Parts: sequence; C-alpha cells; structure tokens
Amino acid sequence: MVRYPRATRNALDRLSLVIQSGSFFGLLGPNGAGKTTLISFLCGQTGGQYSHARILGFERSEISQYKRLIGYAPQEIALYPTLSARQNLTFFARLQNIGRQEVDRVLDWTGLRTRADDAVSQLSGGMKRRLNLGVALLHEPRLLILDEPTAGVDPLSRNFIFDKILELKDRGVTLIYSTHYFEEIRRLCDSVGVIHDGRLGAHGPLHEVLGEDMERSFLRIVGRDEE
Amino acid sequence: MTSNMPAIFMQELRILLRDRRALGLLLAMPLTLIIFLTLALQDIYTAKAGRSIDVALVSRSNCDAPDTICRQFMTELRHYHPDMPLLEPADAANVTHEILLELPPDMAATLEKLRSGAALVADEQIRLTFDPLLDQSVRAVVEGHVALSLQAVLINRATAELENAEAAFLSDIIPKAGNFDGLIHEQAIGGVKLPTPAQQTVPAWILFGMFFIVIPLSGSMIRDRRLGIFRRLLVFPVFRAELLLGKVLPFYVINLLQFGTMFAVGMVLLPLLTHIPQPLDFSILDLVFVTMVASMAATGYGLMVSCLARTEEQASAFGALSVVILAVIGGVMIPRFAMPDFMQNIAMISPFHWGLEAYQDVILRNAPLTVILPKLGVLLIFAAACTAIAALRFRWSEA
Repeated sequence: MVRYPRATRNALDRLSLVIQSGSFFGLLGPNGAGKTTLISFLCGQTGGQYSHARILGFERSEISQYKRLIGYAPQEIALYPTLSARQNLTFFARLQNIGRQEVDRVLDWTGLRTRADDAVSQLSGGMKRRLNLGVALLHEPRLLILDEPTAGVDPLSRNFIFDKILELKDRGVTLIYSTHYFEEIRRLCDSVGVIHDGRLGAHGPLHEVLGEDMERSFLRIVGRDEE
Repeated sequence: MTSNMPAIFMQELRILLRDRRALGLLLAMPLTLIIFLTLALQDIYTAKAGRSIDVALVSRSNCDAPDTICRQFMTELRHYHPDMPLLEPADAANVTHEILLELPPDMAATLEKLRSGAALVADEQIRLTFDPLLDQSVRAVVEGHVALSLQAVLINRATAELENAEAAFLSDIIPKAGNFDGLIHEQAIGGVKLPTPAQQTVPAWILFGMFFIVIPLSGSMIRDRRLGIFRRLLVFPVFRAELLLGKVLPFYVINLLQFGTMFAVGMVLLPLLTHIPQPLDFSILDLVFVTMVASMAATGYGLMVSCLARTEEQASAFGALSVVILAVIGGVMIPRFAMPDFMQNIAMISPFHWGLEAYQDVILRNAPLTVILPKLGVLLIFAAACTAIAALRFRWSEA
C-alpha cells in the first residue's frame, strides 16, 4: 500500500503482481490510476507498506544493491535543457561510473550522433524522447522501466522508439512499459496488467487478458470493486 | 557506491554559469548598486562629520554682539565654517545659505532682557532660517553656539561693569575658562573616525546581492523537480544527501565568488577610480569567515523558498520581494541609526541586520571574534531554521 501525504485515499492498494524475467510487461491504465506510483515504488523513489516484494532477486529494502540494474525513463523529459545531448549523457554516465564510449554508443543507438552537441532545448520532441530513453540505457540495465515513453511524440519517432524497445526485448532485457494507449500494449507487450484507482485488475499473458475483450474486462473490474 | 557529489556539483555549476540572466542578477545588479550608491552617497556620509556648515549672520544691530557671535563661531566651530559671512539685511535676500542667523534690530535690548530673564517678544528674537533638508543635529549645534556666544557677550559685559579686584581676576579667568581646546581627545571604535562611503555601502549591498541567490537556487530546484530530474536521479546510485549537497554547493560557491567580486570592485577598484582613500587594515580572515556564514544564511533561505514555492514564477516573485523587504528592515537601504527605536528593534528579525553588524564589526570596528561570533550565531540559527523548514517541505517530484 502506498499513500501520499495529505491524500485521502491510497495511491496503490492490495497489489499483487509477478513479472517474469525477460518479459515485456505492459502497465495499462488511465491518468491517475497509479501507474507512476507503482513504478516509483519499484524504483525506490516512493516508500510504502508491503508484505513481500522482490525485484531482480533482491528484497525491496536492498534497493541500493539493485539500483544499478534498473534503467528508468520518466514520463517527463528529465534532461537539462540548456546542456547538449552529449553533456547530458556524459553527466548521467558519470553517475553510473561509466565511460565516454557508452555515451557514443547511446548517441548512435538513439540516432542523435549528428545532433550530439546541440542543446536539448533545440531538439525536436521526438529527439528529446529518444535521448530521455537513451539516458536509461547508458549502463545496459537488466530491468528497463518506461513511463509513458511516447507521450507527445510524432508517429515516425514513435515507431523508431518501438523498434528500439523491441531490440532490447530481443536482447533479454526485462521491460515494464506504462501507457494508457491500448494499441501500444497490443503491439509490444507479452503480458499486461490493468491498473485503476490504485488497484490491479486483470493481469497476465497478453493473449489471456485480451482474449476476454479488454474493454469488458475493464468494466467488470470496476463493477467488482463496487460490490 | 562512489561519491557522485563532484559530478553533480560540476553539472550544476556548468548550468548556472550558462544562465546569463542569473549571473546578471547575482553580479551586475549588486555591482551597479555598489558603484552608484557609493558615489552618490559619498557627500551624505562625509556630511556626518567633516564638511563645513554654511552659516551666514545678518545684522542690523547697534551693538558689538554680532562681532562677538562671529568670533565665538570662528573659535568654537572653526573646523566647520572658517569663513562665516556677516551680511547686511539687503544682501541676505540675494544669497542662499544652509543656515541664516538674523539678529534683531535692537540686539542691545535683547541682551538686556536675556540678562534680566525677561521674556522676548517677536522683534527681539534671533531668527534662524534653515534649509529644510539640513540634518536636524546641525541645526541644534548652531543653536547651541548662538547661546554660547550670547553667554560670552553677557559675561564680558558683567566683568566690565565690576570695578573691584575680583573683576580683574574674573576678566582674566573667564575667557581662559571658555577655551576648551585639547580637553577632549576623540577616538573612534576601531580607529575609523570617519567611515568612507564604501565602508558604509559595500557590505550592505554585498549582502543584498548574496541573498538574491534565492532566485536562481529556487528556480533550479523547482526546475529539476518539474522536469523529473530529481526522480530520475533517485534511480541512480546516488545518496539523497549527496544529491542535495551537490545541488546546493555550487550556489554557495557562487555566493562566495559574488562576495569576492563585489568586495574587489567596491573596496579596491572604486576607491582607486574615485581617489577616495579606502583603508583595508582589517582582518581579511574574519571577513571571509563572516562571508561564509552569511552565505549559509542566504543559500539556506533560497532552499527554503524553493521548497515552499510550487512554481518558478512563485519562487522568483516571492524570493525577490522577501529579500527586498528583509533588506529594508535590516538596514541595507536605510541605515539602522536613521530608524526610530521601534524600527531598530524590528530590524533584528532580519538576517541582513546581523550580517551587516558582523561586517561592520570587522571593517569599521576591528572587533575581535568574540564580539562577532554572537552575530554569526544568529545567522547560523537562521540558516538552520530555513534548512529545517526546507527539509520538512521538500518534495522530490511534483507528483
């Protein structure tokens, strides 16, 4: 359970979830459903009450040990706008204690090599999104958590991001992908969880959850809560 | 986990140094104030103890009193007005003086009434016309010397009227008794008899500039919160304490650089350009110590504002306004000695008051550390209180 200070209800409540290593898990829900709070809990940004939580083989309380294994791309463009793409990457790479070659690798991966020395504020929305994602990949994490990574992105950049994410999946990276776009889940993920009002509804392999018709399933969960 | 503070520190410093508006605010604004105010106020401060008082005496009197009054003024106030004119009534209307002393037409009658203790009527009074902008204390000094002069006239007349041996004795003694040359030896605390404009204005405006760190500091904190940079950094192998310290320290360093620049311009460069001698015979070490503590208060205040405000606009508006109010209360814009008593007491709620007192202890009074430390203690308490409030209200994200 997670409750924010001065909040009248829990942001996350009675949540039980298993995500298989190497899978691509989609977290689906409307705005304010609790997706970002769940991600914050997994990343150690937010505390909470729980009976059992293991992440990458570590207890949740051992966050300092598994932090290095997590890559996180927030839904905001969490970059320094006045600094260049390279300076941003170099800074975050230094915090991970990794070198310049990783910065170049990520610049190539995101297709931003030619714009590396431009200030982030001068990049297009799609480029910023790619760079935002690139920062999370600098240290080649085992678990990549993406919080609405395509928000405000044009279709071309969205496809670019999808292709890159699927590349990571093929390399065995475990992915948690938060979105409120059902199509994205259908296209990318192999398992899904639907979250609403801080509670997890339908969840499991994509074909099982979608087989029941997503929309009806969603409505049934709400009805069950009200009973 | 290796220490990431240097990386965070350098990153923040790089961003800050690229922000021309912030640098302009932190350096150009206080420097401009220091230069203009030091130059503009130099006459006001020297007027406190050093310039001549422009007094003229108008006489249409039929006795020797005017000469005696002039002599008295020349003797007693010789440092102030070596050339006091004695004007005819017709000339008085054509010239402007700060103080015009106009003797009554029948001065002898006035002196007679003074001797007998009788009340004076309007025509028998000495008229003192003064510039309304003149310091009240200057008027009081001149009035005091008019009274002294007339006392001397009366005593001289009384001794002349006595024809016995005691009169001769008195006439010998009284003029000598009125000569107090060398009676008082003046010595200012710290040895600075007349503070220079720079000594008065530079510390005040340096403090003012230092507290303006609130705007870039709160702006930077709120920006990182709004952009999700804090949330992102929390997933990196970084301790929260080193993240915050690395974030705030560059502003502290900029504060110290601000001090160095403004001090160099105000206390070294400006005196060279204006040829106003500026003694630097105080403890630089103490000065640095005071600056370090004052900077803690300024950055602590900035941190608090960043945690209380929700947006950069809120922080900027509240930060600037509150700094100006604290500066006014604390005696930056109006010297504390010019404030009424109740305002002098209110001044003590402002960190500017304690900072200014500590700076003046070092620069003007050459005070020992034991005198300065209590003032620095108040500044440290202020810094600690601000940091505690910031800790209670701190948010890593807007969510």
